[in-house]
Amino acid sequence: MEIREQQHGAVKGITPKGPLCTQDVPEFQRLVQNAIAATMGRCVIDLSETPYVDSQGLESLLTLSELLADSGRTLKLCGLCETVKEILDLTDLAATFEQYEDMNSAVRSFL
Amino acid sequence: MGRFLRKLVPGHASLISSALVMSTAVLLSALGALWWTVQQAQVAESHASAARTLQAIAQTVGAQLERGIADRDLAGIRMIVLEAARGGRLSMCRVVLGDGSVLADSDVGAITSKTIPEKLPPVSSAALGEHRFELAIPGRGTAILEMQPSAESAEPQSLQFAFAGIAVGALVAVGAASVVIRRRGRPFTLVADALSAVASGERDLAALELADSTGGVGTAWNEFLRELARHRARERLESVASGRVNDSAHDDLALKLVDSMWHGVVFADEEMRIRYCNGAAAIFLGGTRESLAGTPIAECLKSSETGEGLLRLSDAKNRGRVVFECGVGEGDVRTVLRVSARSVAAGGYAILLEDVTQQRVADRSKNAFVEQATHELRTPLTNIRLYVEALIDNPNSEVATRSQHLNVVNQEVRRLERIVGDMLSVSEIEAGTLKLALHDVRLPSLFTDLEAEFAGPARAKNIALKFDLHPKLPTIVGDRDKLILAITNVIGNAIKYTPEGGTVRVSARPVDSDLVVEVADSGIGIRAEDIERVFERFYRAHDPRVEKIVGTGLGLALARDVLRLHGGDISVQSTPDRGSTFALKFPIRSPMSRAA
Repeated sequence: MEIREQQHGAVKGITPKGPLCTQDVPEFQRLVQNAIAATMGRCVIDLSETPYVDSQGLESLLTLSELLADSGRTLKLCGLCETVKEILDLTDLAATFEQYEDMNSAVRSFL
Repeated sequence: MGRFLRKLVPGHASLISSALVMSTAVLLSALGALWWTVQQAQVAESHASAARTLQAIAQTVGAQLERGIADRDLAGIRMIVLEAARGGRLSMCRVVLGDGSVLADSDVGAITSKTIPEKLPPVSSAALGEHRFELAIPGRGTAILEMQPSAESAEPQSLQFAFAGIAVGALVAVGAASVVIRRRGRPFTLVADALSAVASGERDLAALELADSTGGVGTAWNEFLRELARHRARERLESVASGRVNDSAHDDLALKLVDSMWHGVVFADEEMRIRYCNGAAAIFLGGTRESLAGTPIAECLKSSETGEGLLRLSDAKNRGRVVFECGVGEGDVRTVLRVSARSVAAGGYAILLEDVTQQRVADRSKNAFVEQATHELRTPLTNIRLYVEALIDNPNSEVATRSQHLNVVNQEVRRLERIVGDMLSVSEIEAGTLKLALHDVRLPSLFTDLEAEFAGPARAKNIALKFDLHPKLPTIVGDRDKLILAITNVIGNAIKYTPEGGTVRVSARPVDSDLVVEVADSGIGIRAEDIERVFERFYRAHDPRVEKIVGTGLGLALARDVLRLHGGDISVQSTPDRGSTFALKFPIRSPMSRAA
């Protein structure tokens, strides 16, 4: 699984390409944790190229969310496809994350 | 507490003096009463003693007088009376007959009878009394010996007045002392009431304060309450600093609220050492809450602004807010923190940390954009003005020259259109309102237009511009204007950054379900460290050759946004000094699929 990192001003965008599943979770989590530490929390996960998230992927997103919650922040997600939105709704986790239509909107939320 | 006691002592002194006054009054009253009793006893004793003396005198003198009367020795009788009055220290001593006539008297002037009758007039028993004794003369009758003790042995009337004065004085003193004590004791009564209110659960210290009119005790009590409030605040700060949650649900909620804030909150003591920080502050200060406890703020926020700001904050006269910005952390983009700090009444400082990095980046970008856009707009406008002026000045110039001038004007107007289009698109993207107007887009026609547009600029720079198009380019669904904007920006850049005599090759071909447009040039290329950032808005590579050429730093950012809105993306491969190849890829959505 390819994970692209992109800087948007002072915000780091992380875009996993492909389904976020068990085998890719450790690498994804490591990258996001590094990005959070480097940017002091100014980080957005772009799921526009992620068609599916399995239970491990979901757990990873929750872990990252809790990591940010300790500093009063919320994990920001953008570009969610319908399938991922439905997974979050069904698991009642949609409200755990800040969701944005696209990266631009998510980056603007840091202003 | 010391101040409180010092203030309380004068109050006690007044109370003690009042108590002394009262005690003295009571003592005086008691003494007066005792004196009164003693004097009364003495007077009674004096009376009794006088009565006994009179009795003894009556017995001694009476017998002599009886003999004298019997012998009718008037002179002897009078001598005896005088002697008795003198010897017995009597104020009056006389012998009276039953008819009231005075036979002998210590006061010679009071004698009324000059002889002793043969037969004495009878004396009624009623005439006898305490100071009147019967003289019985055998064969002649009875007479009366009347004596009066001297005034010295009489009841001392003035003394009684003195006693009464003392008693009245004592009563007045007691009354005055009572009033004074009640007045002095009023603040203590109010303090007792306040303590009762505390016992009843009153927690608001302000409600327990006494009015200023209650004097020194009230002031001391109020000072004590303020000291208690400061102590409570310090205790709360201590409990927060040590991570202890107070048993009060209120404090617990406050702590949770502070912890959930996305701004950093720090409590520092008087020496600017961290006593408490919330999670956000811990991240900003580069540590954990535990490791940061006791660390000087200046060590966590190392910058000249911090030193100066903390210096202003620690100025004892400064009660206002001190605000400064400082950079923390490492990396490409240093975090900019806005630090707002002020001293708190409980002692120490409250510091708020806000992450304003993105705002500052945006500010810088906008400033750079305005600067670049102004420059970018001025160049075509100048060209247009010059060529139009040339046409006006030379109305009879050759047709070929006029045509050339008009062509330049046309190109510059198109350039202006592009710049304005870019700026509008940027503002739309910034505002989140950039939307695609989807229509059928005939790709062959689109590339024909592009070829026509860039033929002139390429020729002007002697660049070989080639369009290598697939013979069967499909009709797709997309926003034609936006796609032209994206591809135009990439081709425009290629021509702009390719030296004269170079080549630019544009190819378009379907690959699987995508359309891939490649723009390859033999230009100056992009350095590895800039490749990742060329798609950022307002970013321009730090290369003198790039900086020489005007540009907004928006073209590639816009191209990427447009392609992503179409579900595609843009990538670049480049070798410095040899050229770059931009690949624009977006999915082909045919009109049929849109209909489906």
